[in-house]
Amino acid sequence: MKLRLAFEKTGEMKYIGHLDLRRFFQKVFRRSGVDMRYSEGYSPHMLLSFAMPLSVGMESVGEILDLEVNSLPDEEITALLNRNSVQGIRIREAVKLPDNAKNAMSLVSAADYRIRRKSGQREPWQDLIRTFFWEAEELLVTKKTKKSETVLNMKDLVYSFCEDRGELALRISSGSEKNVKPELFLTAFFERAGISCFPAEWRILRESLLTGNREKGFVSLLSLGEPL
Amino acid sequence: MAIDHPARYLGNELNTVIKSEAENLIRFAMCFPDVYEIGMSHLGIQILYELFNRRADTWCERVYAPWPDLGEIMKERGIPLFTLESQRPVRDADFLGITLQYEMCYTNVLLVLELSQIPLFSRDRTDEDPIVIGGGPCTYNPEPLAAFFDCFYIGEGEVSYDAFLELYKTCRAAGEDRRTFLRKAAGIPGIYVPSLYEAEYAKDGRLLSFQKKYPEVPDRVERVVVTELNEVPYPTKPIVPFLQVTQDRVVLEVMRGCIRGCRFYQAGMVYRPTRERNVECLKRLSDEMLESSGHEEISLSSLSTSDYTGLEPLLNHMLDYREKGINISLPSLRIDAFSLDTMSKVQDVKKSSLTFAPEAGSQRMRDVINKNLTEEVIINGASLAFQGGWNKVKLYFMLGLPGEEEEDIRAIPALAEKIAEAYYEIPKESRNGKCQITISTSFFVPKPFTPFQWAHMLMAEEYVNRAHMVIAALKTQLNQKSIRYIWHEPKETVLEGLLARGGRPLSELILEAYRRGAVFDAWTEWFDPLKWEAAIEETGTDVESLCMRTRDEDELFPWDFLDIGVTKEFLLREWKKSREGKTTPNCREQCSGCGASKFKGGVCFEAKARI
Repeated sequence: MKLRLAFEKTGEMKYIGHLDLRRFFQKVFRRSGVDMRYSEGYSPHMLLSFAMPLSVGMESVGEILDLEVNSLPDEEITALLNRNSVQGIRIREAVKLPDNAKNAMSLVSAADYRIRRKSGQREPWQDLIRTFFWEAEELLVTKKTKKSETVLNMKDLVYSFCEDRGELALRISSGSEKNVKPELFLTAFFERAGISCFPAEWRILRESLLTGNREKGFVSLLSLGEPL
Repeated sequence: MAIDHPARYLGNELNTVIKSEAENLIRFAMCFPDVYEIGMSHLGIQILYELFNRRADTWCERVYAPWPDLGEIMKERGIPLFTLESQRPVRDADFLGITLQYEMCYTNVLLVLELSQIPLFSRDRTDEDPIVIGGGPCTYNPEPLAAFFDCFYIGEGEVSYDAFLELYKTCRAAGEDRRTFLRKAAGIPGIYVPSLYEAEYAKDGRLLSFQKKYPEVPDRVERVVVTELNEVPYPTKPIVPFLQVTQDRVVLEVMRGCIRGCRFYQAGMVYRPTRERNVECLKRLSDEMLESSGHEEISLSSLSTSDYTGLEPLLNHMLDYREKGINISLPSLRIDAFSLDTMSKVQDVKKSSLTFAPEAGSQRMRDVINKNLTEEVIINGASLAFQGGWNKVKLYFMLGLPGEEEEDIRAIPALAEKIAEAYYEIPKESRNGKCQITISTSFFVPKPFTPFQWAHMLMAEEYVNRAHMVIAALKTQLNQKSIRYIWHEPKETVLEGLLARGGRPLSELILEAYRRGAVFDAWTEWFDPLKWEAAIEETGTDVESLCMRTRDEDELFPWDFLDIGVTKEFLLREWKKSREGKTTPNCREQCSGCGASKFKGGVCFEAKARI
């Protein structure tokens, strides 16, 4: 049986790296006595996968984890897991997926972020966003990897960008195909808008991971399952 | 500000203990003076953490040495070192306990004190500072560090810490100062307060006299020992780190002490007598620990697990865990049919390697060190393993043992050659390609409370020569292509030997090396012999006298005031026997009257029960 969990990684737990988080969850499942499915082979491992790694230092309230179990525990699973977790890593919701469901990692195509200036200093965001993003013809950024450099037009990859209650809300292309880190876009945008800023002045929170596309719309990965 | 592995400093791991800051809570900061991943792997601290936190009036928290990336920032900005649980400064705690596991951590002790903003010298501390207490194997010669510690705990924590903390509570309630407390604490078995003793040293570092300053202070400090291991607390809810630490598994301590009297091995002497936990107790502990931690691996811990009398039923119980997807990590067991059978069940035979620790190449040398292992047993064990499908073997040896001759050195690669021959005797069709034999040598370091405490060391260049003799001999051998040789740089060895057997004057040397930037000396990438050489020069430390001289039989040693149970007479008898190449039977074969029977427990009485 395939399950999908949405969880939070907040506070100091933002410093836990992706591989460490994976090992942490393996131990949470063991402690909880969840009847996990294992891979075949000489050293079997638990069948679990994350939708998308979160950068160390970034908090999130909408991380996604897929897992396979042989049977459901007697106790309600989110409560059971939270009892065996630590402060800062909290399971929000669990859903059951159809047996033929693709894993979250291959589905994720966008992510929502909320960006807040730690100092609380305000800018005329609505005007700046309109002038320097929506009305601009293009906003090019150079994405550097170890192997190559690619120039990306943010106008194609940012799906939504606005001010909301004093914070910036951003929906941006993510996942295995065209992944853009929010920092990369924000740096380019702030530069264009003439706002001096250091990454350390900002708190970026990942809100949710989505699947879909611009034409048909985006839905939360969690909505692909049914309540348990 | 970029810090590697920030999870080292966060706390919040599962099973950490958080207590509300009630008034009068005794706060005990427990430190392993090395990086988190090493410190978190240490069982002793987990035991003490459990022991202290069981007390409603005490909160034990952990501290590790910050890696230099963070250490530098803390120094620059004056950020005081903090405990992981409460993230509060160490200096606000009542106690700072530091475990001393190896000599090469001594400069890190100073690092921890300085970052905690606690005066380095005990004599400079006031009632505002925590009481700094040391424990662990290096306290079997605490003298090089005596000036930096207010007291040391000699022996096993389960015995006297309750009395120690109760005394602290009483003294605090009565408004007594630290000096009064320490004076009273010296009366508790196992507690050594260095400032209450006076030691006089000759210029060459030799101890001339050691005397207590006050009549009520004990003449000798007695090591304290648990007699019944089944009855003491064990950390059944071990802390589960986020980071992958060195021991990322459930560790089950099956026994303490070792019945084999290897003459070079300090742990084999200072943890006597051998005491076992019973199988039922261990089954219960391992079940509980796996459940509470979610670890997916379990390992056994002891000095010589093959000598544990309940090994077979215990391993069979552990094999049942395999069904739950739990790996069994086996310690190095004596190679025989039973252990090979068990190993083949839990490891991939083709990938795993077998470990032998003959320690010396020739039978003569093995008799000198009392390693009761014959060539026949080694070769037979290896043959048996090869027939079982293994083709990788690791061999551990020491170079520079007392009385070592060139032929003993050449015997090391020769033994590896014989093992290779045993492999190629197997018909080609039933063996698994070439065999891979790895020889690894370390250099012998004489340690306090061993029969070799009288032995001399060699100059660093001579250690290198001996390693080259191994290489030269290896090159003449037929199967040299199946044998790999690894050896370690010797500069650290001499320093380790110096710190192991030196006395109080060495505190100046440690401080001088630290002032010159020596820190994390146990890490090859940080160890800088030049800083130490300069410090030795500056302080006029007589390395020749302290390390390179065979000590006189009637010489007074800095650690003689400790009574560890095993007597100096026994050690001297063993030293003499070693020079005659005579062996001593193990504790189960025959009691050799080492003195440890005074603790009234363990193997000493097991043997009598049989008669």
